[in-house]
Amino acid sequence: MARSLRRAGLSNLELASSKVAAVEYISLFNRKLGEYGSIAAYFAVFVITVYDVAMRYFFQAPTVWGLELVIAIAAVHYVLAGAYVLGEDKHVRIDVIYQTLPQRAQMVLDVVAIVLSMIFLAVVAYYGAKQALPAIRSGETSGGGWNSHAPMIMKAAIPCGATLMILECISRLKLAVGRLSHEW
Amino acid sequence: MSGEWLSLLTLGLLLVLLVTGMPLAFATGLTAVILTLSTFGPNALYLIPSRMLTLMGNYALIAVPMFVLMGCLLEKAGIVERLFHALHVWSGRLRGGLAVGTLLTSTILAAMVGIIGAEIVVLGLVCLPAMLARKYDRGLALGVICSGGSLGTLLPPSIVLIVYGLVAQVSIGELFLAAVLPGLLLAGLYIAYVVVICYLHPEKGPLADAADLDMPIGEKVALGRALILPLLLIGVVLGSLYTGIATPTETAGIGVLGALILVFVNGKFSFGMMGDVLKQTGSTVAMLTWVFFGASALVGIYTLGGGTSFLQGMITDLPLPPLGIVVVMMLILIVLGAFIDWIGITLLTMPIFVPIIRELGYDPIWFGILFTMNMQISYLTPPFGPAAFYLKAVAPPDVTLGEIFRSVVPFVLLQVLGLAIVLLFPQLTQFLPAMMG
Amino acid sequence: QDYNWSIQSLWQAGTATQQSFERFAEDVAKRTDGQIKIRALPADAVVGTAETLEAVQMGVLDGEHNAPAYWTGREPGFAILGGLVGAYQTTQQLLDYHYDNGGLELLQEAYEPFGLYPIGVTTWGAESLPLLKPVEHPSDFKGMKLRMSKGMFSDVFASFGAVPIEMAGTEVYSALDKGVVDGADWGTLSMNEELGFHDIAKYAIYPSVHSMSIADVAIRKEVWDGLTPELQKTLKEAVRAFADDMAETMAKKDAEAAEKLRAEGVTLIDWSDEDKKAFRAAAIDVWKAYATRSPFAQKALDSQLAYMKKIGLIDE
Ligand code: NA
Ligand code: NA
Repeated sequence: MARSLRRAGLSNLELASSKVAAVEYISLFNRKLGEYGSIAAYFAVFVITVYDVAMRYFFQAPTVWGLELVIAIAAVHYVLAGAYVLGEDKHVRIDVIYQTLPQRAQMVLDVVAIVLSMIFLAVVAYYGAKQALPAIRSGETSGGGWNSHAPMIMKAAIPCGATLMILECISRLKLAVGRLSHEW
Repeated sequence: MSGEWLSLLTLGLLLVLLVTGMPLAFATGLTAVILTLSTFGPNALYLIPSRMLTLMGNYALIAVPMFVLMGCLLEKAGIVERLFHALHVWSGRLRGGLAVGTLLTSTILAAMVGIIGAEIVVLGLVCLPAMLARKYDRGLALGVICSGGSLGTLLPPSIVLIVYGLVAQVSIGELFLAAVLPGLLLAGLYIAYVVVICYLHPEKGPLADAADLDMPIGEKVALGRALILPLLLIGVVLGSLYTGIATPTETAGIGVLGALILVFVNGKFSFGMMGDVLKQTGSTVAMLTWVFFGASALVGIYTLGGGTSFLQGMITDLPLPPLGIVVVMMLILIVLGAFIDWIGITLLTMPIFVPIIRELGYDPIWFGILFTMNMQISYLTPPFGPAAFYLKAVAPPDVTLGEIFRSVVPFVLLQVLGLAIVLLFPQLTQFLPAMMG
Repeated sequence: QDYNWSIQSLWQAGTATQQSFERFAEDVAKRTDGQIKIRALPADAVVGTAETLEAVQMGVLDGEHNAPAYWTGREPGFAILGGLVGAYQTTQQLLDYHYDNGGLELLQEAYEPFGLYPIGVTTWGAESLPLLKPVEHPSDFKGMKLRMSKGMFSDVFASFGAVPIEMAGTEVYSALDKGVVDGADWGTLSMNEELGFHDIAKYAIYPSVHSMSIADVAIRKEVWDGLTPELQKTLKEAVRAFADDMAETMAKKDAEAAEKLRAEGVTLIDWSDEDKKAFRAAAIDVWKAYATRSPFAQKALDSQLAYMKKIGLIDE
């Protein structure tokens, strides 16, 4: 477990200073989901796109499901992998001013930034769920040729993705607060 | 709330939130939340997941992961190193030859990939260490990579041109053709600048190694083989578009196939490598789309609050001749480009600008090229400068964002010059489409 | 009480249909002495075109001016009410069905579970089909790759041997331009001409029977119920006038576009009555199969079949 977590980007100090708890398992889960999800999603998007072009151009027999499926796969990936990116700390931040601040101020701001991020994500999760529930209850379909449940799945993915990101934030918050209290 | 106040509040909130160092995606998103609560009440927050859903269903965005994947594969295929080596040896007698070689490499790469991230990462990994090892001026090296790498979305194929074509309802094929000369113009300006600055300050761009310089002419010519595969790939990507095999978005998928074949040809394929590039693609794409989500939420609430009408009124009420209005639009884009990403800018401004451009009787293709050149500037300008972020991610650790932003100053000026040239000489965008059409 | 409504349409800013919608907003203000003010927002201004229904439900928008065919995935009957493929020949027939023969009441019933009230419907007229090759008879569709919008369209065209292609709306121009497809279902002749489709496509089926759709003007039911009867009546009249304004505007623009395109050498193909009938016969089979998807869809189809028999569009 500890080794997996270390691979997941947590330092020894962080591991020692915080007990391995549910939130760390969430980080690990987000990372695995992000990695395997990315591999599966974009391999599929690539293969389906090329297959669809070939079927249309050479065999005059395009698929009815290609377009809908490619959009749905990528769409679900965008939102669900948000937590993975958060765990890897790869979300773009404009830290030109932040970098010039003293270290203590940075530590305080780290905590503030995570809390503020969680407020936005909570809005996405709550209103995303409000958007998804009627679609799930009515089993909304695309209405197009393939008429799949893609819209319902895409809507459901939004609150799921936001919730995973909130859990990831909690894990980061714990570390940030830990660093802060260590400093003071 | 009036349009002025809404605009000021938006800008103020965004700046304050960004100081905390929180991710851009959440800063724009939270700004949208606060604006919504202060103008419409909590129910209107539904707008945020709604607009996310609309973006998620936008097929044109599929081009983003495909272009990222293609860029990653090109890096693994090792063709960029060889291409760079050839161009560098050929320009070895020139002061600053390595920087010129970098710019030539970036121009060729730009004709293969349609987003900047992939290109800057590749150049940062291949060309930056080479320049630093030969004691090139750091500022010059960083600036060359940021500006050259940005050409990926001006020279076709380009995701910015695809999205502009969709929003403005003009031919993407024609946009691609129209962008070629302005793209080469910018590349030419960059190269001319490097040559002149290295002539004036020889220490900024030392000469190539003796081994490279003294290479027999036959060997030098033989290096040209490095150009064959990239040129073939460019032919496949753009060929699939112009011969009616694939649509613009599908073209990106064809590009991945081409890049994958190059990986096989060069014997670089392995399942581990494939997994790595797909993971990298996934994290880059998720990062980008969340930035788009945040920007889109902000644009939606800004429009609902009347901010867009305010901007529109401001522009149409200006007592200016038509060309003056276009110049004002360019200035607005430059300012916006400092703070938000190109998707947000497109969603916010193009529904306002394009109808005005049509009404004034201007060519929307030409305007699309001006817009895309403007986005070249936006990649480089702080505080939100994606080119700098991408380069920071692969540069040596002691390179700071501030240093990168300082290094791009002369190149931003060159971009403004290029923009002015295309603004005054629309023929640059019309010549190729007219010839091919 | 005064009302300030933000209503989002399905039209791009600056188009003739959006301008008609903006005239409607002004007209409402005039008719109600400024008591009801409508902000006529263009497509995608606040939410995506496919999300306006929920946006009105949730109170983000006060109303929508959108094509009910978009809600097909929620209730199949919306496709049948929203634009029955190959059904009507004139805008008058379609508007008569909705305003005087029960169509609008059915649409109100369809919206009821979603808490929306469609005040009335408009149409932009018979669409035209831009083609790279001539199609003199339905049988000529054989083997042609056609970009088709969602719904029943694909099935009807496929029954003549066409290869229907699902393609994001955003890729259509380029696909037509480069010959990825041989034709594309998009809008009316003038809409297609404005987008430059006929710089590429030198043929069009015009007037075409394949598609005539509606867009409604809908607000939240509870808001509608809270209006005084006078305001309700005024709004209904204003939407009805809007429907005429849009139909006339587009008919005029289409006629102008036809003249211009003919002069530019674009061949406009008008099928014989026999061919139109053959097309409608194929469409009827598709309607009937489609109507089995829900009881309401069946009801909506029965109502239209009765009307079409009444005016002699179809035989027994
Ligand atoms: Na490019
Ligand atoms: Na910028």
